[in-house]
Amino acid sequence: MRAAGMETADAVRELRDRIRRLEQPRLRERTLPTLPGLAEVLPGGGLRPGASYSIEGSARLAMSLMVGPASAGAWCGVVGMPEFGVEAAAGVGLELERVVLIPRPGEHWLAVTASLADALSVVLVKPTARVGHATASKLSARLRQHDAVLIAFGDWPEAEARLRLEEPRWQGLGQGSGHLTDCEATVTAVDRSGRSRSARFSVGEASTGMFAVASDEVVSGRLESDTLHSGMRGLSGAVRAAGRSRLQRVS
Amino acid sequence: MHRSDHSPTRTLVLWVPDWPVLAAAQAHGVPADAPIALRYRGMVHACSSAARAEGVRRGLRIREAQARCTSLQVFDHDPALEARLFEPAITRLEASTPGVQVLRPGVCAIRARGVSRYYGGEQAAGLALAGQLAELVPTASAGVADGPFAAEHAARQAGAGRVLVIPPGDSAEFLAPLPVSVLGVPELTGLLQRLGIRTIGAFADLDALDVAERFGAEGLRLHGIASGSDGRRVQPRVPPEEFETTIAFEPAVERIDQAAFAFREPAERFIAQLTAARLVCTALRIELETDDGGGSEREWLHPRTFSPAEVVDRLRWQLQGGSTGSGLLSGLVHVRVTPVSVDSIGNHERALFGDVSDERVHHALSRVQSMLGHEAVLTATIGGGRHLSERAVLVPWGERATVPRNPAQPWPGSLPDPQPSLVFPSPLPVAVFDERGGEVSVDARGALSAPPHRLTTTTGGTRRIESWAGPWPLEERWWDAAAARREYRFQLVDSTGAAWLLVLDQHGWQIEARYD
Repeated sequence: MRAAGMETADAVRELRDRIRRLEQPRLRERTLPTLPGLAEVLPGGGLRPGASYSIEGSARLAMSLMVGPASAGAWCGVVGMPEFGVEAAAGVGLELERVVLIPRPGEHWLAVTASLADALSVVLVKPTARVGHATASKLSARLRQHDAVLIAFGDWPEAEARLRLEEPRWQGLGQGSGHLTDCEATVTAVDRSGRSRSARFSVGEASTGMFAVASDEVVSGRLESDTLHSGMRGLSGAVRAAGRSRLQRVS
Repeated sequence: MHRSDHSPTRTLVLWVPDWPVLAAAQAHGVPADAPIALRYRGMVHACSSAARAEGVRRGLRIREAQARCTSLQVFDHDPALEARLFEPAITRLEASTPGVQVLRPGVCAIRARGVSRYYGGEQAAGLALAGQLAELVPTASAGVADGPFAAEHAARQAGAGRVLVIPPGDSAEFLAPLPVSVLGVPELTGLLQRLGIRTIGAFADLDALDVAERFGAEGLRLHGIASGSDGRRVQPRVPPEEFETTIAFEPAVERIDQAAFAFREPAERFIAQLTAARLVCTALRIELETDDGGGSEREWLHPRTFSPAEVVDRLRWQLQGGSTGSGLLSGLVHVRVTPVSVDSIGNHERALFGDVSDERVHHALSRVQSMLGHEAVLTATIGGGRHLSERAVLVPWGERATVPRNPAQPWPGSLPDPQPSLVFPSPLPVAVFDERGGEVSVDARGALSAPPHRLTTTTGGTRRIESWAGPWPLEERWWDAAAARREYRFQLVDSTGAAWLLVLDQHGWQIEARYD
């Protein structure tokens, strides 16, 4: 009996995945302006209005995602990040006059995020509590209604893509000499169906603080469907492995 | 008829001494009896009595004031803040008398006739109203005289919690001994002093025609004030209109649908009267009262604007919060709806061309401010300075950004680009060890005891340091014991590839920021 139940659950899940895949539009749809390098990595070729994205490991990556919409005149909000480095954001190219900070929303962070989603185009939020699927889909509906984009700094269920900055390699520091100048890192985006795309980026003085593609190849990978549900950590590990194997093949 | 235009109105002025200073002290959490000065264009704009006792005066240069009073705390003069914090005091006064005119934050005028009849005399009226104000600000005082100018100076001389009444016609005599500088027009009063006219009385003694000839219309107006015929009228402020709508149920209703149905007409009336005033409502408060003496109160926000049906919906939702199925736990006897935030209807019309997204942004942010408070929504600009916390200038939404230090100046000692992307509001204490396990320190000459090898956080995590740079000394304001800072900064990359900005000061090692 129990085994049968499990089977049904598996079947339902598989069907849901198929429906979701069918629902995904074939055509390149409308996207918000995104920095060219990052647009290559994102599914759909850019930030999709109404979608949510989750970012792990790099505030600078989150800032860079907001640069494109902000320079096209969109408003951005940052919720729940008192440590948001304003100067770094300006250095990345983010126009501060179109950025609003709500550093300490406390328990109201979700209500604040929802309110902002009504009017601003991009909302970066650092959730202070675990977000359930029900909450996420409620917020998603609101995002879709107003064509806003949510960027979660941390885990977020039902994210259009999970972006991760890995293997950062800082340059310019010696043993007691120099200063940080440049950083090369791999940005990997994993979409809902488990496809991953990654590219090597650099940030720093030389590139006027902007993210720029260091090597022009974009590496794609495909995950096995069972690893899809094993949580973010396992997922990114598998992606890294997949990415690495492809990298070797390319080079 | 012509005479009455120029005869001064009997005026009651309520005065809070040093209100700008009190407001700044309240906003910055500083005791009001500390020596405080407010800065405006590099000069002292206002100061507390403690600062005055040390010789600080209005119009003094800040440097000079700090030399006279070393413990002086200096804040910026912020008229918006002063007006905002004075608002409760006005509301308190308006509760007992209509027609309050705010001359400036901290000073308000009322026509004396009405209130003196009500309270039975000008003295009694002054005492009553000063008493009202004194519940909020204990130092408030009142003055009654012919015209606002004389009344304000009467209030200034009355003393805390007291009232000074200058009988009708005696204002000129009362003002006579005051120096001409109280007229508040430096160009004119400077000239008058050079002409040997040092008191208001001496100025008033001049012939009006001569004054008009020499000083023009402005001079004539001031001459009128000095002679005790202050032609200014008290212009009462128009209090915000009341739009609240109430409905009482007799007998009490027991069902939600009954209440919602009965509320349809009042809800339409509520929105209609707002529309008639060319306003829309973006947030409202519903107060419910039940027959067992209980009730509930809740604020509802709307992403755009409320329509009558939506107001009824909110009432229904609020009732459902305290109910079982369709019945209420106790009978509903009274419903009151008040608008919490209203806006001009023009801001919410669908534009024919372009869009109104910027207004929408403003409304959304104002709504968040009403949820979390004025200072919770911030905009950022980059200022000058050497510390990360100084360079990020955060200003509440809706206020004008003032950059205290010029970012275009070189600021030697500030961090080289790229800047850290996470700046921790309160630095995290860590311990840094050398290869032999001894704690790394910097001596008085700025030399490092040993190269840093590993770093341990308070939670016990240890990371090896791969590469590092420093110490970069930063010594600021060594001449000022209170503001002096001396610290050494380090950049380092740990074994996981993470890059950090560390600070070593008298509190030990701390992580100030992270590069990621």
